[in-house]
Amino acid sequence: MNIMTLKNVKAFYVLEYWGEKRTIRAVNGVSLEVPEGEIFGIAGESGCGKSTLLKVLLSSIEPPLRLVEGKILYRVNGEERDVSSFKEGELRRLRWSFVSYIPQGSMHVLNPVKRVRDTFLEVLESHLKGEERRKWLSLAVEHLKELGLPPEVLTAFPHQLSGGMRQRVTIALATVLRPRVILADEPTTALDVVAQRAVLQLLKRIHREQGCTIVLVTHDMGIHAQLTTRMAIMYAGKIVEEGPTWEVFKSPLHPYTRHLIQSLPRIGDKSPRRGIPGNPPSLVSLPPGCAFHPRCPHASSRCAEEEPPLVEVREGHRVSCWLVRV
Amino acid sequence: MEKLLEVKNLSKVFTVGTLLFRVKITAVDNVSFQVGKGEIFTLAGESGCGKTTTARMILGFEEPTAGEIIFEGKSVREWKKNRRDFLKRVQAVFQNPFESFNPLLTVDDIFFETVRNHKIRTKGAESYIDEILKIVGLSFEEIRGRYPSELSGGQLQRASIARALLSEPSLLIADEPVSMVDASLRMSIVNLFGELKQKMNLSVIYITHDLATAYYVSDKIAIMFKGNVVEMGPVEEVLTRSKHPYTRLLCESIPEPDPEKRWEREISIADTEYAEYLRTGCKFAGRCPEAQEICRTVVPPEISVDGVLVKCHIYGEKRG
Repeated sequence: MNIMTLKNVKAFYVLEYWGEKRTIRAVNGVSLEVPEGEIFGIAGESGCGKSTLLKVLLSSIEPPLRLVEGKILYRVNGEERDVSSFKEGELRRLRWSFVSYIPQGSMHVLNPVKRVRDTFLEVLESHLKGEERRKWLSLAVEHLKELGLPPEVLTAFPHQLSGGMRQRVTIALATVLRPRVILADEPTTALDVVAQRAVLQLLKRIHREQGCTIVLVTHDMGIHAQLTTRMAIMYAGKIVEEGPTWEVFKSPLHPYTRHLIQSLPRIGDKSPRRGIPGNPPSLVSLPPGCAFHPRCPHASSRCAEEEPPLVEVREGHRVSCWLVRV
Repeated sequence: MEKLLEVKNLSKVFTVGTLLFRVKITAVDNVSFQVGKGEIFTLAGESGCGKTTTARMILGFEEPTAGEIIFEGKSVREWKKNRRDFLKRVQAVFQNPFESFNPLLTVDDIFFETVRNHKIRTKGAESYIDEILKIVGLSFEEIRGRYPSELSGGQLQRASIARALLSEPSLLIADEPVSMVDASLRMSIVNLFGELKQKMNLSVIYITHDLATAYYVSDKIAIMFKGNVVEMGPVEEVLTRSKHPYTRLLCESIPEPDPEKRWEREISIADTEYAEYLRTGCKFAGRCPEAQEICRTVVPPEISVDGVLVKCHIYGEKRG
């Protein structure tokens, strides 16, 4: 059962400078199925469109971002529905309670002049009425306890908490209404490895205890290996490979994926590692054919002309490359 | 190995808080180390451990509260008199290349300005700049007339390393140089430090929280925690046979890119920003799995074990 489905989604940033139109193809034809209960990872370099893809999943599409083509489907209460068919205000009610979002950089999420408790109340207020609210604050305290956070953090100001603790508060906030889907955008950038581990363990725990679905965007392949059950690799606005994490790491099929995994340095192994020559393409002017072909060591003339489709190679493992034969 | 830089008992105290509620934070606490010629020395640790403050004091951006920094046989205090000469010998590369270049100037202008300021060449500046750019894998043609925003992050970080090399420094201080660079380009920058060491006998102080790249490129490493160096020695020894419980925790917490090796033990982290700085005894005692009574009261001594300096009671005699 897929809790979220994208059907050939194209979401572009359309900008106008002095009458000149520029289109940034951030999500350029993505079809994706997020099965319920998975920790789904999205990997890729900066500027490959992974954060925009997450905005599409959240269906928070505001100018200059435009949904040019495609469908976004949510399965709410066992019924699959097109997001565009939602009535006024319905989507807003679904935020936090059906789908919630953990943004990058916790300092920007929590109001710096409000105590953490007030921020919690604000979220609860927008979804619950009168009497229930009081009941929920005690639930919020309970929730923090469950997540292993001391209840004192509720009375603290954001700047008094350490970076790792702040990010964990943000996660607690995003999960207090027990959403079915949690979208996390680089939840651990700006944290050191130890705090990062604590934050990821918290996510794992929520996944286990609440039985929700998590979509995790990060460029760090190590985090994908540690946490996710399925993953997709994006390059220049497209998914180039998707499959069970275990299989992607064991037998990566796309040359880009293979390189990303092989280039990672490991402690205890000093053998030389190389970067990929060249730079990721600009999303304004994509190269013809496969977007990776200018940097690909195995590129042939076909790669420069025709765009490879994303095809299923093994069960549940899709790749978009001419070199991989079915 | 001939030594280039020596840091002796360096400390820095910051005061934070409002008028009524003041806390003294020892950001760098009695730190000593040496960097040899042609050596890559890593300062590693979590955010707030004092690694950047140490670098800023070496560069003279920050006045040390106590201690001494000796560069090429002369104290940095003496170097103050010819600051320009000092900065010619010691150059820095920072985390975000987009912030280290003036966005209103073209990159080649910035290069010419550096050449002029340091009076490096009067004639043939362009071919000299091109020569240096070639070392980092760029060329003058690629930066001519281009603004920083027109280059990619990886290119610009290479350019900022090239700019630092213009004055032929003997020491390069690189503060988190790859944390903003894309994964596919990261290794090429890290490899560059190794090449510079080989080709130019350049010493590098590599400041990072990424232990995997530190292991890959550096010779010596110092692990810092809340202002103290808790473990220091050859990188092979420190990272593969870690002695201090904090180093072990750090190494264990690196997300290994292998789905078969997942974390099992749950860990705890500091609650508030300042709690651990103010701790008496060992600052790590609050989350150390091996902490004992003595750790909470007495500051651990620095002990040499197998050629590695460890600041921990486990290796002391007073503990049972």
